[in-house]
Amino acid sequence: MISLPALVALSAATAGVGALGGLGGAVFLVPLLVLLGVDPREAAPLGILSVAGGSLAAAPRQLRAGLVHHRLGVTMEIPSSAGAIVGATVGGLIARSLLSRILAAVALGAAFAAGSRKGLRNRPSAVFAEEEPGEWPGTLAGAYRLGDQMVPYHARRVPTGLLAMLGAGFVSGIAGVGGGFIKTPAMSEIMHVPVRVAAATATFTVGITAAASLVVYGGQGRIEFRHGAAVVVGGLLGGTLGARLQARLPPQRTRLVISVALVVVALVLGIRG
Amino acid sequence: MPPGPTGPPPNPRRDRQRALAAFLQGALVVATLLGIAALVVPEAVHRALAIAMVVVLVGVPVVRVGWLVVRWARRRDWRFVAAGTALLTVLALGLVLSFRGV
Repeated sequence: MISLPALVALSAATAGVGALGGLGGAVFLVPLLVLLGVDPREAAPLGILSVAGGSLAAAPRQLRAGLVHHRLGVTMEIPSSAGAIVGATVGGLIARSLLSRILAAVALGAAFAAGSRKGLRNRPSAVFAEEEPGEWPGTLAGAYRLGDQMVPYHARRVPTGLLAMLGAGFVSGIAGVGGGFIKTPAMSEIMHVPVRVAAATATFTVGITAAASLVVYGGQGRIEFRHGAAVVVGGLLGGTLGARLQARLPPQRTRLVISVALVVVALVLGIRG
Repeated sequence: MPPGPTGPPPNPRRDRQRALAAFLQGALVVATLLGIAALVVPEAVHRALAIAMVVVLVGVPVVRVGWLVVRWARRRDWRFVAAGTALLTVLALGLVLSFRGV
């Protein structure tokens, strides 16, 4: 088994990238742990612990910055959680290699969608200059701060977004990862939510998915607590740094980071498949 | 009538997330301390500390959703009260199904 300091470092690095792009860290951490010789049955709970740690670490900063859209996150998490439950139930029926290839194709498609778009879809507006950043009550709309300007936005194509979240939950239930690598691009590219808001909101929702999964793993006695503590400490550290960095990056750079990270995910999953 | 404060009136939206952010910050500190302690203490007690850490990680998102549902109910934002309640129901259902081995 990998040493505890190495586990802390690995978890910090993967959770940092996860919080930066709203992807969760498990999609990187779990394949890496398996490649390093960790039993997959032990790696999956460690990955989910890393996601939970990264989500909690990023939460206060993203909340204070007005980047998390709770109403959008809660709405999107309903089909996602339902899909995760169904996915976890039928997961054994799908061959692992086929699943890895499907996930790799999804990650590549999302990378292309995020990386091919140039410029800003949501423009700053002087009308909202005095507005506080955050969500607007009763709606799936809001405003976020970009530099010294305010950018209003509202979620579009909600039914299609809900379908995408159902799919994200389904594959996350099958694969034992957070699903953020589908949720963030889906919110950004399908629903036209600004990428920083999409990343922060996905970071909130993957924490909910991780909590549900941890209860199951705990009940099955699959959590190795010393290694779990190392992964969480790393996840908390990486999540804090990732959220701090995300607040400073312009949206175009954030999309580029997400795009590159998704290509890495696709390669890892393709090799694994 | 006493003179009012100078400057614009306080924006009620400015501090609306303050309590939730403070709760999350507190949970973050507690989870970090429990995790570090679980790494450095002797074998005999590390398990209890790590279990406490996992309980914090599991409990915080659920409490957060519950908190949001209560806040939205106070604002009479019924559509999202229904959404939050539906999410909590789905999570509870998943929990029940997983423990029943479905």
